Amino acid sequence: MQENGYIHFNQAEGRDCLTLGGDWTVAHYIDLKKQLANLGDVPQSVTCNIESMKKLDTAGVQLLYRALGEHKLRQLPLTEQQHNLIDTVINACSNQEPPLPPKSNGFVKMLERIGIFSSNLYRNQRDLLGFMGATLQSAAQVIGRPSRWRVTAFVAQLEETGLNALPIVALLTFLVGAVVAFLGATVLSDFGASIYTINLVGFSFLREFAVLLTAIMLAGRTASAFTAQLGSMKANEEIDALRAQGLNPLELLVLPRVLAMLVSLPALTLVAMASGIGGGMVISALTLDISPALFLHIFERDTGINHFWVGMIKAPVFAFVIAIIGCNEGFKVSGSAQSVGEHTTSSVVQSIFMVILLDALFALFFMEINW
Amino acid sequence: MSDIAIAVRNLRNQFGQHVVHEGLDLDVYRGEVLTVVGGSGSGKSVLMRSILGLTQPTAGSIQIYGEDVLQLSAAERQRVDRNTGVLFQKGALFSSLNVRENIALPLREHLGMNANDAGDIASLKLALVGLDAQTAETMPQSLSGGMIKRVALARALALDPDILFLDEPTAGLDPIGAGEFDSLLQTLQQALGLTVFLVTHDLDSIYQVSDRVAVLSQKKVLVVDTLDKVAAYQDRWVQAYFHGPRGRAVSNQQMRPEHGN
Repeated sequence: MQENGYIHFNQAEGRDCLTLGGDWTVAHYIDLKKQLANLGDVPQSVTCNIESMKKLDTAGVQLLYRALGEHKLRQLPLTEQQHNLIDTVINACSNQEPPLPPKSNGFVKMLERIGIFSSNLYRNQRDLLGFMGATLQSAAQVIGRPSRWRVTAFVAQLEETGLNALPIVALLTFLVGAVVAFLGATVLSDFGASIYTINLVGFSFLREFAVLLTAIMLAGRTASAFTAQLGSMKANEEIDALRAQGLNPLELLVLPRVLAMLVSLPALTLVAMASGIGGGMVISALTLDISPALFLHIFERDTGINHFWVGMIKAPVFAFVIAIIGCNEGFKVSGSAQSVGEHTTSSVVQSIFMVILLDALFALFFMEINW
Repeated sequence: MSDIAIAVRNLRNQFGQHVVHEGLDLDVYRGEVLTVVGGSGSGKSVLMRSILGLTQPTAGSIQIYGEDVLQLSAAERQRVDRNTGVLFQKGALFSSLNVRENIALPLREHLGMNANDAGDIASLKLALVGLDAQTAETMPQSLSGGMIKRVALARALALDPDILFLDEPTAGLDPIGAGEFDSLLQTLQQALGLTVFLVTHDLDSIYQVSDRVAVLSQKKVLVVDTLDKVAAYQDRWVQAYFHGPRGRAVSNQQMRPEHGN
């Protein structure tokens, strides 16, 4: 069926002659383009012989138009339908604006991208603060009216963000507790101070590790889920449907999620503290011969309650930030599936970044007030 | 060689207990615009998907240019598919590629073109459907409904197929946009000599572009003929479709210029 397209240039009886044949279709585009390039410039006086041309499509016409020019092309002895085709393509080509020249060099482009990135960064943070404010405002409107509390939604979210995350959080912190105890045992035994492993595990988990690990886990697990859920609702115009019905999506969708996070993250932090210290206790018992009873006695004697509060105070702050970032990114989704993916990534990165940044600020603060 | 482009014989489609098609026969002639109409759930889309090989029919045969496409191997099927272009109802543009890349993708994948050549042809296709060079760099998300349909048409035409399948191309367009799309389709169809399989509910489109109309009803093709004959066919659904309030309005409009002559 198919025949390769070809073009030859020859001189017969002192006249220049172009012979075109075969299929001038998109399937042979690359080959034909090469042949035309090899042909070089065609003299204006050339006559064309197209008797053996089989098929012609838009790509073929495009090539001929570039090589022969409009005038020559229109003179070819073709069928009526092929003339229609040529007219249509020539019309399209002449209406076509020349492709835009590349705007600027690489360096300017880089500066442009840095500028866009920076202004987006600023705008994102401002939007985030705005979203935080709007959420708090709708919380204030709802708080005095128990009839508008979304108990079912809240409990469902609590199960998803809190209860379902419990096993993974407990396991993870148990393992990190064990690792910290190992480190302590190895380093401190050089000084004959391996008993202080207990203090190391206790301090680090109460103050930092429990809440930080839990927050990072939930940032990866829950913030992404919030963004994906709200994002696909946004893409499906469900959020607009709520607004159009006079319902407040912040109240219906965001508040239950934020509240669920505010409850589950501190609760999980508590579990994480116990589990991490448990991990340390097991390692102490196995490698340092410190019995659990002794471990708990020293732990109780040396570790003040203020360390516990240092950890716990941070939990609701992290919870609020993670939930707000997750929901806000969800609301920023526009239309496509790719957008849902982008914003989900962004929400995880942002919330982990914010958690670690806030944690550093908290550490400075507590150091200054000598807690 | 016969001038039948697509021949569907004795097609049967069944999903669980639900029979969509039974003993369905349909011919699409080369170079014609065949419009397929039918009520919701009458299996218009299933028929199109069966011909395209997206749905495997329960029984029957489908021939495209005399080849039984249901018996072909995957590689042979691909060769046939390259000869067909499809415009899906919602455009189905790839959201991660810009407009030019959307059109260039089949060229690069099937014909091994480099980005420049493929982009060149893509620009021509965009110009053919009446879009300017600026559109080429935009992402599908930022296009309007009418532009999405045009880009989807350009993508369907990328490989210069012989047969074009259109699934409700004017659905969701305003009357002006729909009218422009119809005339665009008509121009291209005549210039490129396309065979068009058009699924639509738009009576204006049916009157403007179709050579023949096939009515799907009672699990088969009830009648397939020129518009006048189909509109005169004695069946309750056909009569309601073409002579209901909407049908009358359109057919009156189409008649008026003739009265003027």
